Amino acid sequence: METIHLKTVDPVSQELLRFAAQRGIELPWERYEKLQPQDGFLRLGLSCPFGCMQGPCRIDPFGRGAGKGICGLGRDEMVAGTLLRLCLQGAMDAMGSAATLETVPEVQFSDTLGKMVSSVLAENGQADLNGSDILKGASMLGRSSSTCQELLVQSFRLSLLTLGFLEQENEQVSAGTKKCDVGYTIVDKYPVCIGFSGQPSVEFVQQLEVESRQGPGASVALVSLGEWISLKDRFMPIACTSGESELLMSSGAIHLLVAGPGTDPGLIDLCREMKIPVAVAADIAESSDVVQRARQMSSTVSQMSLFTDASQAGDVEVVMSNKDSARMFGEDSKVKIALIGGTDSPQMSLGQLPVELANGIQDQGFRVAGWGDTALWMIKNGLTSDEQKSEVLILEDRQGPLLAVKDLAEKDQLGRLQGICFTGLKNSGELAMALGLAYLGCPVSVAAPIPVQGSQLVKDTMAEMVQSNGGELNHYDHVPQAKEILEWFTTLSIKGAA
Amino acid sequence: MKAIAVHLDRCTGCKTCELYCATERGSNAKTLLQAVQETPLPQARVRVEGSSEVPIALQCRQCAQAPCVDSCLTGALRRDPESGTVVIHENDCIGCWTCTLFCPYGVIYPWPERKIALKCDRCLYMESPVCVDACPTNALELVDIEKYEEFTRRKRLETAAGLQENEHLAGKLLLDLVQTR
Repeated sequence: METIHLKTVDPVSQELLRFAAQRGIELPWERYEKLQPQDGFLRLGLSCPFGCMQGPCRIDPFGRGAGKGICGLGRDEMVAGTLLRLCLQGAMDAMGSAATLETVPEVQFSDTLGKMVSSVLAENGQADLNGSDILKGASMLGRSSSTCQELLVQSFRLSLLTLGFLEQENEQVSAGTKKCDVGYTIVDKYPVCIGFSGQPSVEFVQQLEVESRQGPGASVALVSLGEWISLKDRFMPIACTSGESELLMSSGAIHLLVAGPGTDPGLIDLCREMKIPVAVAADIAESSDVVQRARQMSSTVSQMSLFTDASQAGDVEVVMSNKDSARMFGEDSKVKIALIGGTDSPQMSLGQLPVELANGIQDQGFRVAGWGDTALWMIKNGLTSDEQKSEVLILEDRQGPLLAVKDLAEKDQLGRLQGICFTGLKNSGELAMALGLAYLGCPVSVAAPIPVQGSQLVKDTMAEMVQSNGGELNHYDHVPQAKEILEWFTTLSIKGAA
Repeated sequence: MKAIAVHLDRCTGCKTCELYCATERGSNAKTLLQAVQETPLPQARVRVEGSSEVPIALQCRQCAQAPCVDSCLTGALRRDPESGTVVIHENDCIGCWTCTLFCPYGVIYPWPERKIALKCDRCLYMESPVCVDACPTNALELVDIEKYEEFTRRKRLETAAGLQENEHLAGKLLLDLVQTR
């Protein structure tokens, strides 16, 4: 427990960590420590990703052992292939539930994004994007016959496709904002809490909302455990960030878990261990039973108040679409904009980077917007309150920085974009988004190491390809401190002035 | 005195020990992602050898009568009096690699780029050897020499218990042994 401050900066979360440790509950931090060191070859991108059965082949990064795979594949192609595999997965994540699709969908870019993408593709002499790029990417990973350059080009094409699919997913959203309540205090207000993880179906959640208001007994709160679950006119209240979901569950404050698609297995295992009922968000007919079981569960556990010190975060407005241009960054072209977002990771103390970065960047006079877990940390730390000299803008989770980029592009003010920083990556979709934005010409920094360090050629080629479109892709070979990322933002400022 | 023991039944040949030995003991940066960018490339003091069926992580056995110490022309290889470990003093090493020829296990390696010989010193000045810490299957274990007999006895008992459970296999193993001879 002497390292507790390395796990999270939130004092209430630190208290919950002590509580879990006393009860011998294993949380992601313990699993992370046991997994150290994680596979070095995969971390470097030197474990062959191609779909052949001769391997697994791995290249010795220190030059003594294997320098090529059995088929003769070199280290550069292996690393580029690893990146392509991640981008392919990212595009498929953004495409929606692949399991329910019968054909690969076609991508429909909005006018703004479409123009940006077409211009980049034309400048690089590439054909238009379509859904078959996914199949091409998958086929390239079947046999290791493509060059490093070809693999990287396809990776970037898939990352652009990811942006298109993400935008398409959100096209139904009407202009404007949605409210969202954030913070541990939400669970303290209600005697019965049903936690949500993953992305349960809207119908199931709506049915549960109705059921939770009906019937005898204590009122029931529906709270999200770190997921941005969009309801009709607002977001489901978010009790904690995704990195804290198991921590909150371990406190016993959640009486039933509704596990939607994408729920981490660790959360379900923890519920089993703590004998908390789990409902799979699929069968709407069972919603009344779900509420009843949560009420029963709450009557059998003694509630400890662990959240007395939690700050009241309150409601925030989340920007859902760049159609509401006035709500975004205004017209003042002198105000530079910094976008910070991403997912919690046990690699760094939860909340540290988002809050330090946001404060540091605001001190330099930039307007800040955030998304994902990073945004939740900003809200929890009062950076979105009206009392702040410059209120942080919260962007819809899935599109995040894309909304801001489109808004600026529409106003022909992309020059106002100071930089985009991903404070942590949870899945390949987020990596593909970062690469896509960089390839579109945005300055992007990724605070989590990406598996390309095994090849200098791949790193150099990626940087050149991004720079040729006017963008920048900054990534680290270590877990960076806030100071380093702030320096990156400042360096960009100097470059821009020059 | 302590030694690094290898559980052959647990070694999967993943070479994680090599990666992290080279990183921790051979690089300036001490992190894998930075170490691979250094020149000259860091080298590991432990090497995984053998076939896919029988991989084995090999490092210096710290021989009680070490031929490498006797053969060293400049006295760069010396035994640490406290730990009993054979340590190479890199400043005294001239890179003649005589020690690599005399080592009966072949676990002293030439490092031409740095003009020195390379050998495991069991991470003498660290809390525990990095290869032992990094091994994902705990195939490497730091064992006290005084307790070595107990350690090997435990292994023999484990093997015997395993054979007892699989009598048919025990018979086959014996048959294989006879046929091989």
